[in-house]
Amino acid sequence: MIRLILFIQLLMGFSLAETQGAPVRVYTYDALTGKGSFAAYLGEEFRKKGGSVEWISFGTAGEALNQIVIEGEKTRADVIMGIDPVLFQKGADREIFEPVSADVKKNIFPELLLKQAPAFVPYDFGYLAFVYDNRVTPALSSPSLEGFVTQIRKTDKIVLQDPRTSLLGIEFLIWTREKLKSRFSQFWENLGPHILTVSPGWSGAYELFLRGQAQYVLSYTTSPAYHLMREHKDHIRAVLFQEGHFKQVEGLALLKTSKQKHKALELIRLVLSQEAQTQLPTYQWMYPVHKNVKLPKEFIKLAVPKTAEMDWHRVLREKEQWIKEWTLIMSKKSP
Amino acid sequence: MDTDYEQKITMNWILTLPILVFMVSFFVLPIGNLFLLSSSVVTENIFQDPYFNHVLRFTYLQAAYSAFLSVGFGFVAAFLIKEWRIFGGNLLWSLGLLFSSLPSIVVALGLLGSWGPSIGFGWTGILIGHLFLNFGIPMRLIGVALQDRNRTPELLANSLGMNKRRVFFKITLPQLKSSLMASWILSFLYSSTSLFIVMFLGGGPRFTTLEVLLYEAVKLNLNTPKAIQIASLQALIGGLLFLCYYRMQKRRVQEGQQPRVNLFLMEKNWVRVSVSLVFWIITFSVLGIPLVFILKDAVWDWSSNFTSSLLHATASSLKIGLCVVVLGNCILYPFLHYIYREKGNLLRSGSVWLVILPQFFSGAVVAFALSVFYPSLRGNDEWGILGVVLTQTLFAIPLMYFALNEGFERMAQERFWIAQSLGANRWQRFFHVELPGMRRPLLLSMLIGFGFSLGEVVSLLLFAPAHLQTLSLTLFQAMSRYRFQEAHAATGVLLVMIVILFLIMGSLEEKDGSGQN
Amino acid sequence: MALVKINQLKVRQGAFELSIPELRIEAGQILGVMGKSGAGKTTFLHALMGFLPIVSGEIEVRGQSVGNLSTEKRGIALMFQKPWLFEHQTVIENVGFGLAIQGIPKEARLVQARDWLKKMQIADLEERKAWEVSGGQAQRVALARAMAVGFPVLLLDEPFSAVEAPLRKDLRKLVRDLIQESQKAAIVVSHDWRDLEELAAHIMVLDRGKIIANETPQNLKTHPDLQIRSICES
Repeated sequence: MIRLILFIQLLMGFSLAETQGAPVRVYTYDALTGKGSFAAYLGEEFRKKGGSVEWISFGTAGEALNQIVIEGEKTRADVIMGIDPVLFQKGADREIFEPVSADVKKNIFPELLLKQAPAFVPYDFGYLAFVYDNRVTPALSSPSLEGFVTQIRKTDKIVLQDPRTSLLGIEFLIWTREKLKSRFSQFWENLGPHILTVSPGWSGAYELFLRGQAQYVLSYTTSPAYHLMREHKDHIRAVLFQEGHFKQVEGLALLKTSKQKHKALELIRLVLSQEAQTQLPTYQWMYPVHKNVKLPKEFIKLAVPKTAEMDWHRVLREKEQWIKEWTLIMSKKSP
Repeated sequence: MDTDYEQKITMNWILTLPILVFMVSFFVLPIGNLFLLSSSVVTENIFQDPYFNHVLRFTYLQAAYSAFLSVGFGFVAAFLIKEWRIFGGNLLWSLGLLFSSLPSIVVALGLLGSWGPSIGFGWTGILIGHLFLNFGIPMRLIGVALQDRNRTPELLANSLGMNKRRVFFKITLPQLKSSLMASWILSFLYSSTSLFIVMFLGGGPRFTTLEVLLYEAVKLNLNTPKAIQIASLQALIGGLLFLCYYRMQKRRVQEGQQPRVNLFLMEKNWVRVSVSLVFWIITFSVLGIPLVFILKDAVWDWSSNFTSSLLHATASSLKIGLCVVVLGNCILYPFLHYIYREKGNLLRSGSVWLVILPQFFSGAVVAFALSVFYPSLRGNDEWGILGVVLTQTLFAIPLMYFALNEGFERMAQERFWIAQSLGANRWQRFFHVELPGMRRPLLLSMLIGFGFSLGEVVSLLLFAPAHLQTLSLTLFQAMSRYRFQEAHAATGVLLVMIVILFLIMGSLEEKDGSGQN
Repeated sequence: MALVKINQLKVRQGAFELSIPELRIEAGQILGVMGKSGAGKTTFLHALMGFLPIVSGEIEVRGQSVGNLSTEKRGIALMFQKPWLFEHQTVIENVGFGLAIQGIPKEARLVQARDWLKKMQIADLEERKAWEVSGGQAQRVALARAMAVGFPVLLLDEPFSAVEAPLRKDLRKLVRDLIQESQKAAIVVSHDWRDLEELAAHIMVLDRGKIIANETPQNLKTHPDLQIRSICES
């Protein structure tokens, strides 16, 4: 009966939310939202404080940002969530972000902040890694990036994310380019035959991995923690590389066009609060940015890899050229 | 003066203005603008990009292979159905139309589900996906040509000693030449502008077409100059294909008095049965299994979690579909009324080309051209919904045209003359004679337009505001994220609606033949 | 009094010109129109109905000039070779169509329509859908429809061509009796000499847009001009 009423309401184009005051609208990627997600938790906590949040999800954070750019001044988004420094720069170049005061970010690990970009607000971080199922795929002993390609079995398949649309995709590309430099092309040519598909985003790639379509998926060192804590399964592992791993910092940003910056800032404070940051690992399966948060024991058990250092100036300057090189290499080799 | 034969110029302009304004404003000008911009706005020459050249080659190579495959399969199917009368021929004849009407993302989902990514990605998935969607067109075009061909020369040649094989190659095949070429052109066109089959089954940058590149440039990279160049190139090629197709139509085989004897009918029953069996096994393996998987997964993967969001999406789909069919009919109906009732004979032969012209351009090109010409359509508000409705209407109009046109053609002028002679003025003839007679064709055109709108995604990707969710968009997003369960659930609802539409259309078409005088 | 008067009528259709110097049809009279293909029969019919503009001349119906009026105002009811019934209506609704256009209330319409169906001897078909009746029955319904509207003139274009031979005789008699009884004027265009011989008081023979004869059927049968006799006999 309720569904019938809802259906009729929807047919009439009636929106209940509009009668209760505009919610804070957050554009983000879909893995952050949905039932039992971090977004659902934040929504509930924000509601207790008298506010409301509307989560509008896209396949990737890149798509979310593009949508904001396309919408321009007419965008209804107040906050974008799930961007990294690379994506952030894309938006910053278009001057769409509002600076957030240092006071809001005072509890964040200082090394995660972007000194030249006060608008970027980190909320979690993690390390990129290839994840595999050790029941069907043998472990590799601390290979290098290049060694990984030569050590995996001929029939092993990998699902990667597209650097043109996905944070992980572009970060993996940057990682390989920065570390391998002139050997970058050879690495990708060797990797080519193992790539099952290039997925637009993380969730799609992980879905294929879980269905057994691929033996490796590009994800995070913390992904095994999810399977351990939620499924009580410890057969999902991460390959650790000798040279270290790319540290992905996920952040959010407040939009200049937001008509309710005050409410949006309250939401941002909530995201960075100790309570929310304590909950974050078991929702996002990433590390919290708050200095004073105690990690769950399953996280403490995980090996924390070395951080692969990046020259961000060069990265931001040359990433477009790297993407072009990558697409050309990929167009020659078969998935 | 109050005579009927005097041209009511004002009325005629009122009737033709909607379609002229619509087509010029939302098709001719935006596409023309694309061509103009392609030379002035562009800062880099995309032909110097090796990746672009790779994509260009792949686009037309896969389109050519797909077209050959579709025409080959369609030809064999048409021959077996029409000449050999294989068992289940009528079912396959109807299925061809159904397959062509399925949203291509549904097909991509079925192929991935049935064969898995290992086989589904790459050349195999793309070619089979295009075969699935397109074989119905050559099957019908060639089948009708086979049916309507002049059999007399075949019988004469055979009676003079030429064996059947030689008759087929020397006499029959030349008669089918224009239908074969027309089918190839259409299959080539649809395959070259295919978006979702390539996007979901391509598996990466190696298998990317111009359409996918355009989508990426518009939606993902926000590279408008590059998008303009790609779209202009696509539009140019679409225009050339249109001209080729137009010439093919002019050379169609003329109908004559047909002898009833079928020279190629297979008399040996065991041969017919064996061939039918083999053919059905192949068809089922290639095309049937994905369809079965689509249906099975749609039921199997349903979860109550999806109900609320799918209800919402269904409601939005219904609303948009309704807008499209109402707008489409408001534009098309007066135009056809003018041609058939107001003595618009001059326009009759040219009108069909004006109306079907958008079909020769890809959805992404037209939607993109619109977004460049009317930037305010790309917004996070109701203007975005207008952009969706306009693009979908542009593509629904050619499909709705054929249903309406057939209705008008069947309405004898004599009935109107009689009504007039009995004292009925223009409006009375419209309400008491024309509208009752056009009820079924109108309903049919609305169902066709609605069915098209249900499965259409490109306009939604370019224009839909972020908060808008429709069935097709839900399916696309679920597919993009490999959320197969959700995708199957959305597919289930879409399929149910499409099948219901088909059943209603089928019963309408049957009832339409009831009038005797 | 002549119900229909045509005076110096000139009609052009492309390169073809039809010329009718004078024509009168009295009440209760039937004029037959004959001629080879291309003689101008259809042009004449279309000019009378207003489907073609007239170049010059006059057409009068019941003393009123109708040459510049639209078809629906001329008072000339039309019947074709095929019945062209309105498929979405029943038989009785078809017959009452003209009356409904005139705004006659439903009950009165039904009474008049039933009356005409009785005259056509098809009263039992009143509730049938138009597409449910046979060819011969449909032609009677069409005739009833044309008569029921009450216009002074009836124009019939090959009304019996599609009807089987045994039924044609009955239909011819019916038309003749109805026209006589109602004192309408009727024009019957036909290729069939037997139709016109039985129906028409006068037969106008057209050839290349001109009247080459306008005589009684008996006079035409024995006309000294071979060409006219051959048209009548063909």
